[in-house]
Amino acid sequence: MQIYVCVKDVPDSAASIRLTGPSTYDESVIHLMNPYDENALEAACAFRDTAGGEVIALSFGKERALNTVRAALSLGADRGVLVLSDHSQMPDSIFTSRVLAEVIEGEGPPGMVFTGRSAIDSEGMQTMFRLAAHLGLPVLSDVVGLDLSTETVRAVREMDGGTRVSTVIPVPCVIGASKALNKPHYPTLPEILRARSKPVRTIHVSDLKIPPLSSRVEIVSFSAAVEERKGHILSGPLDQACDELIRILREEEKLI
Amino acid sequence: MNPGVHNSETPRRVGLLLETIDGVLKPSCRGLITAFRQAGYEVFGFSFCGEWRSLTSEAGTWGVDVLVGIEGPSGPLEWHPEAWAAGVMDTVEAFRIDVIGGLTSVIGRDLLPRVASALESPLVMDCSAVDLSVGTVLKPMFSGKVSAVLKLVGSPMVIGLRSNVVSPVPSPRNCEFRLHRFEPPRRSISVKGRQSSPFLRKELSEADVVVSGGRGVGSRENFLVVERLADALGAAEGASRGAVDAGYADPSMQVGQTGKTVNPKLYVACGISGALQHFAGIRGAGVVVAINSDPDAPIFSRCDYGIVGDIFEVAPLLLARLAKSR
Repeated sequence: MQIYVCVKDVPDSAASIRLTGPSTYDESVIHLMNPYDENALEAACAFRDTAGGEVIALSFGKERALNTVRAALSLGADRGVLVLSDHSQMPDSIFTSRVLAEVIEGEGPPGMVFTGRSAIDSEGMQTMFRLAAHLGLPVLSDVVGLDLSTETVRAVREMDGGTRVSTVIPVPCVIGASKALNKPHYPTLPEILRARSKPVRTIHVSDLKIPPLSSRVEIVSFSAAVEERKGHILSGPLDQACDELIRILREEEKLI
Repeated sequence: MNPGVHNSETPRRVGLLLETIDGVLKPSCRGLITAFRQAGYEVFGFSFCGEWRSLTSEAGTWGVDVLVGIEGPSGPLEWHPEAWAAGVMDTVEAFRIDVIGGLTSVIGRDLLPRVASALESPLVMDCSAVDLSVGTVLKPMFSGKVSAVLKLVGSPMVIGLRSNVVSPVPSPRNCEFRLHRFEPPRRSISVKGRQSSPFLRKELSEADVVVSGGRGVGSRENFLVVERLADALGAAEGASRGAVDAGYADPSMQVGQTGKTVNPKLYVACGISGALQHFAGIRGAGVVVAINSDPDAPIFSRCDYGIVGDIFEVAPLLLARLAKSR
C-alpha cells in the first residue's frame, strides 16, 4: 500500500522575511519542513507500522526542498519524490494540487494521503481539498484525532469552542493534520543514518503532463507588515500599576 | 462552472455563508456582511439554520438583500461537511452567484475550500480586506510578517475573511427570504457524534477579548487565574504553546502560529514570554496587555501596555478593580 505524505519546504517561522521585489522575498533564509507536515508524517508512519505498505514523501518546490524530503526520510518515510519547479512566484494551490495528483497517479493508487492543515508561509488552507477532488477521494482537514484501520478512518475534527466532532471516513481518503493530532518524534540516529540510503526521485514539473495553467490567484504585491505597539510599561507599586491599567483600558482605549 | 453571466445592467452577486448560534447571527458575521457590502453587489446570505424568520430580519439590518435558507428534502440539515458544501454549490448555481464569501471560522475552513475545489474556483482564506471592484484581497502571509495583495481570477471566486477585521456597520433594508431545497449527494463521511469541550466555552478565533496564559502560570490548576480574569472581562481563554506543551492547557486553547489566530480588540497575555510564533497568532489584536514577572521578557517590547509582576499578585488586583466598576 502506498501512503503519501505531502510535505512543504517553508521559511523558518523565526526568520525575517526581507522583500526583494513586488512579489518576491529573500529565500536564503533557513527553510525547514512545514510544522503541520511533521504531524502528517507521524500519522502516516504510524499507519504504515500497523497496516503495512510504504510511506512516500512528496514535495513540490525548489532544489532546496530536497532537505525537507530528506528530513521526511529521517522521520520515517520510506522514499521521497521531489517535483522541481522553477517558478519565480509561489504557485497557487490549484496548480500545486494538480502537480501532486499527477505524481500520485503516476506512482500508484493511494492507500491514504496525509498533509498538514496549512503551510505557514502561503497559508492557503486548501491544497488537500483540491488534491482530494483530483483523486476522487473524501477529505477532512483540521483533524485532531485519528484512529486508522485498513477500511475506515475515525477522524476527530475540532469545532467551535473546542467541541469535537467524530467522523468515520472510508479508506483511502485525504487527511489534513493539525498540531494536536500527535507529537512528532525527533529522528533517532539510526533513522538519520538509514535515511541516507533511502531513494529520492527528482523530476521536473515540465516532465509531468500538465497543461500550463494560468494563475488563478496572482500575487500583486507584498509589503512588510508594520506592527507598532505603544510599549507602555506601567511602573510603580503593583496596585498603582493595576489602577492605571484599568483606567487606561476603560477611559482611553474604551475597551472595558 | 461559470454560473454568473452578466451584462452591464445586472448587478453582480455575492453569497455569504451566515453562521448562527441558536438561530441568531454570530456577531462575527455582522462584520462579514459589512465587508462584502460594496461595489454595487447584491448581497445574498446563505443559512442552514432552519429558523429563518428572525434571521431574515436580522440579516436585513446588516445589509443582506436576500436570505436563502438551504435545506434538504426532509428539512434543515445538521452540519455535515459534504452535504453543506453541496448545498452551497447548488445554491450558488441556482442564484448565479459571482463571489462566495465566508468567515475563516471552523466551519468556513472546511466549507470554503470544499466548495472552491469542486468549482475549481480561486480561493484566498484569512483575508483582512476585500475589494470587489477589482477582485483583490489583502491577506497576511508568513505568519503575519507580510501583507499580500492578491488578485483572484475567474468566476465564481471564493473568499474567506478573518473574523473581526471589519467593524460591523448596519445597512438596513427589507431582506427577502427564499427557500432553497436540494438533494444532498451520497455521503462518504459519516458524522458520528459531538463532544463539548470542558475547556473552551467561547470560540477563541472570533472573540472580542482574549485572556491567555503561558508557561509562567505554572500548572493546570493555576490556570484558574486565567479563567477568572477571562470571566471578569467576558473574554475567551487562550494559552501559549509553552503552556499547552507543558500540559497546563488544552491544545484547543493554543494561540499562535501552530494554534489559532485571534483578532480581538483586547488581548491580555499572562505569564507569556512572547515567542515569535506566539505573535503570529495575535498580530491583528487591537490592544495587547502583557503581565510577566520577567522584565526582560520579549513580550514587553511588543505590547501596548505591560505590567512587570507576578500574575498571581497582579490578577487579584485587576479582578478587584474590575468588580468594583460593575
